[in-house]
Formats: sequence, structure tokens, C-alpha cells
Amino acid sequence: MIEPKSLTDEERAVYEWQMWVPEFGEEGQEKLKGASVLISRIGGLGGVVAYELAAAGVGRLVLAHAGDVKPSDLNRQLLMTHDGLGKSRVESAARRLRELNPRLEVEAVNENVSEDNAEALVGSVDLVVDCAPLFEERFLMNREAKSQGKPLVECAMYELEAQLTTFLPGKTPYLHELYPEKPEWWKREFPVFGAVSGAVGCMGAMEAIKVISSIGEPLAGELLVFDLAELRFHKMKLGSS
Amino acid sequence: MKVNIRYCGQLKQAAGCPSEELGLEDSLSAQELIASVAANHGEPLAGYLLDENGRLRATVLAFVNEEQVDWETTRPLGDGDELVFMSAIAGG
Repeated sequence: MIEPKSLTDEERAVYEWQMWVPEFGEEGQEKLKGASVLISRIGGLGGVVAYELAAAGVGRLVLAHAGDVKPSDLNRQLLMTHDGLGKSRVESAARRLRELNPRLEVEAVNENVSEDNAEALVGSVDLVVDCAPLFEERFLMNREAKSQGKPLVECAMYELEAQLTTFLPGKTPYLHELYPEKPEWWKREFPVFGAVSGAVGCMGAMEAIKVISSIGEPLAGELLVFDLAELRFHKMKLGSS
Repeated sequence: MKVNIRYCGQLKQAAGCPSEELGLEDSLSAQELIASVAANHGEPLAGYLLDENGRLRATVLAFVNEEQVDWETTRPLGDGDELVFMSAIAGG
């Protein structure tokens, strides 16, 4: 249960335009301020999720991503910069997010999600956004989110395609129930344009905002699939018949 | 009758096309059509779709007209139906 936090005058000024959204208002903003979100990892997809949630005023972000910035990150990982090459990804991301929103509480975890940390990482937040490039990490986050009763926004992309859905405790299956095993052909390195990972990242951030603030209809029980090669968007109904 | 097949994720590359239209003389169930598609394409698509027992892999979802279908479903496909194969992806 998210405990709303009252806003300062500065926050009212910053978030004024989004508080004009019907049904959101100051009440929705207070829920965002009281919320905490785990994002793993914070590359092309998760970095955009983090940036949008920081801009929107989510109170606390936990970022999990191991390793240092490499040249091949820079076509899509918008929280990384050339100046940060060779330095910690999460530290670069945390710095950029604090520049955007100095009120944001950021916990930078220089690790990927693993069997050793999944329970604690998921347990430390209200909602998870899964942006990991490996199914092992995705399954761990989903297992923990389900067992701890936490909502999880599932974002994924490949080439010019993307998939998005929202798993809600007690209402939908989670990823490991949808796909009981990982595809043996999946590799950690995949073809990607930043505009594709960024597009699904923005949508994933909006799903998180909707779930936290109870506005709109989250994408629960449905899978949004889109192909930017042809600009085709489909909502597929999950649940076998 | 005609049925449209669409491939998503890595299946698109394995099929060599994003979609195709199949003309069928008889109505087939999704299971029969999936087996037929795998047999007609051969590898690599067959290996992406079916496991060693000839069943749809657990890493692939099938949808008819945007609703997920179970491999075991016996509901026949009709003229103009669209069957979509979707592989799990994890790019971030």
C-alpha cells in the first residue's frame, strides 16, 4: 500500500501541468511522491523508464545495473554520456536523474538482479519495471513480485518490435507463468535502435504511473505488441482458450 | 479459404517474412495449422515453433484474431482468421 506524501509549493509548481490531467490531480501526485519503483536494468529501455518516472515525480527509484559505460551503450542508453565511458552505469544514471529532479531519492545498485539480491530488491519497492536483457533476471523479478504481491510492468523489445504488459497480483499471470522457460536462442546482445527501446520505455513508465496513481486502465491481461517497421499496434488478449 | 499468418519477434527472421497468406482446402484447428506451417517451412522455423515432441514450444505464444489460444484447442480456423506466433523477447 502506497502512503501518499503531501506536496511542497515547489512541487506543485513543477507538476502543475500533469496535475491538470483529469482524475490525477494533486491526489495522484501525492501517490507518485510516496511511491518507490525498482528498475532493472537502466539501459535503452530502463533508462527512459527511469527518466520519465523521475520527471513525473516518483519519490524513490531503485536502479539495478552492473558494469561501466561502454561505447556500444551510447546509441540508446540515454542516461549515459561520453564523459561517463568507463565509469559506473548506475552512478551516471543517478547523476543525470538528480540533475533532472533534485528531490528524487535514488538508490544506485551496481549489480544486476540475481538469486542473491532479487528478494531484497523487489521487497524494497512498491512496483517493479522489468527491463532486463536476460530471461534469468526477468524470471527472478517476476517470481519475487508475484510472491510478494507487487505489480510488475514488463517491457521488452527486439529489432523494431516491442512488447508491453502489466502483471497485477491476484489478477494476472506473471512472466514465468506465461513463458515457463526461456528461449534457448535468446542472446544478451540484440539488434536495437534507441527510438524503439525509448518508445516502449515511455509506455512502460506510463503504465507504472497509472498503477501507482489509479488512473486509466493498466494493460493487465493484455499484451501490447508493436512493430515500428510498419507502425502496427495490436493488443493481444492473454489467457488460453 | 484463406488464413493469414503473422510472425513476431525472432520468428519473423526464422520464417523469412513478417506474414503470409495460406490457402486451405479444409478447415484446420490451430494445432493442425501450426504443424502444417512448421512442416512447410522446415528449419529454422520448425525448430523455433515445435519441440522434440512436435508440440508448440513453451517460449512461443499463439493467438487467433488477437486472442491467445492453447495448443490443444480444437476450434477450427475460419476464412479470414489471423494466426499470430509470438516468441518471448527480452531486449532492453
